[in-house]
Amino acid sequence: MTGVMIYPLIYSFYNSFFYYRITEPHSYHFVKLSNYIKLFIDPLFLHSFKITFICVLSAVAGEFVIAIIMALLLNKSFKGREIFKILYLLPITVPPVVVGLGWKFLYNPQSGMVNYFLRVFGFDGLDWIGDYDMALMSVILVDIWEWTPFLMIIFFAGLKSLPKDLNEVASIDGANSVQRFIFITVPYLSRLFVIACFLRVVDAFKFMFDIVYIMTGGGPGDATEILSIYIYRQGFRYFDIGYSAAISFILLLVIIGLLVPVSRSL
Amino acid sequence: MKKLLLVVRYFVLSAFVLIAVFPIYWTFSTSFKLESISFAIPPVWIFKPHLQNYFIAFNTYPFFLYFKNSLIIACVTTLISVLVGSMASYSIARFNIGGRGLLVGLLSMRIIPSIVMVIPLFLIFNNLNLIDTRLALVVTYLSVNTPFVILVLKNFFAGIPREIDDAAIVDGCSRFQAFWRVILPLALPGLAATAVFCFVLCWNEFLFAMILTRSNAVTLPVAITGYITDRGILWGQMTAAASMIAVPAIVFSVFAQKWMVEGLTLGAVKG
Repeated sequence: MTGVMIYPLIYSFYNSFFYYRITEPHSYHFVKLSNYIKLFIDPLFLHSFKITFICVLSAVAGEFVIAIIMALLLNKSFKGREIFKILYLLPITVPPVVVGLGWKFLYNPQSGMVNYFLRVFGFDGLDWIGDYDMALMSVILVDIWEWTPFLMIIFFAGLKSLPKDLNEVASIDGANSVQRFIFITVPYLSRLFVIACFLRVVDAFKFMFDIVYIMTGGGPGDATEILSIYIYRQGFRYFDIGYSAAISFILLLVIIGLLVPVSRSL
Repeated sequence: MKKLLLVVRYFVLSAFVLIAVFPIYWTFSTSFKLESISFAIPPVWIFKPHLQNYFIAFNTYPFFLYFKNSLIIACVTTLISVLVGSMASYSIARFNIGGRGLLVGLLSMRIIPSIVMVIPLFLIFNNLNLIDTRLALVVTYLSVNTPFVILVLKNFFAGIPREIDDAAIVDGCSRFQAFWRVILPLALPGLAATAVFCFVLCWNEFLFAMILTRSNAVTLPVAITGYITDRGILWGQMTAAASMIAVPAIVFSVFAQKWMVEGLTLGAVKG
């Protein structure tokens, strides 16, 4: 099983040092580091690297904040809590392809429901995924919609595991609820926050492909051309296997770089 | 004051529910609408449901083939990876085989983006003449999902006291019999939940399926992109197909939601 995972990676690493185009099988030759050097002068790669980070970080930051608010609101027993919880979890369970298509329908500038609701409340409709400046944000919003429940359910479990007496002692000592949150809840759950955000960041690198591919295909122009879409385009549209392998390895390095500090707290 | 807080709480939570559920509801309801009203503004909220979109979707595409592909690939993958994974995770939980290095290794397999794997896999399967076969997808999904299964199951096994193994062995079981006859049945809820997650992951997977298939082994998530045509998106049929993919995934996940936290965090957090 491990072999099935490792062999392709080694094969791909090997290829990243070659000029390799599927369309020109005879021109396969060793080019040393030139695929990697090309990366640093390729404006499209640099652009895509930048927006991938904007995309992943702002999506996860948004999810984090909303998830904490939701988990805190849910962290008190009241009627119907279980039903609320199940309904919140629904977005995670929908296949990403369906999420992408469904939101494309909702974002439609003429007949989409997002613009309809905006107009009902007296705002102007927007061209959500057709406009260069809007498209990236629209994609991020969809990711937030789908994955906030993931963090919410983890934080909820964390809050439940919080020892009750800690909070009681603090409130006897005169700490108000905000102080208790900052000085007890946050430190107690910090390890959980790190793990949850790490998993989410990693998954965002992974799953954003489906949503972006379906909704915009990287467009308009290069507005949503995140790294995974760019690798796909280099490999399967321009058939430049060597170059796409080199980009893959940069992406992999970034993710391994994230894993090293986090793996200690797992 | 307390009452007011409760009202605010319900209000905010309900607003979140609306945001979470509406896009799903809208995709479902559009699939039951006739083409004439599916784009109407203001939207038509109450209408007579029609199955027309479903009939067209089934008649114009070999939908049963795609359904069969998805089902076979997801079932075979789930079965093998849970079987292999349970043995592997049992030995990790009991004998600490491989130690910390193996665990980090398994975790790093979970986090490798699919796009990094898919190009070399395409080249390899192409050389082996396995493009557009279910076998290629099963092998791929096995390698992606088995580490996940091992990591999740490890915690279920670690939660079963060692004394039970010892008792079984004293009573004359071999190590394997103790695992197979005694421990495995005890871990059944965990196994079931893990199997559900594994199934849903395969069922929903898009990128590998798109690259490694052409026509014979196409799965549902790939098939659905066929409704994006040159003349625009066939929304009615598309939403019908989307609903058919989403319903099993949603039903299964809701059934396993009690174990969702452990599944999603690879057992790093208890639910």
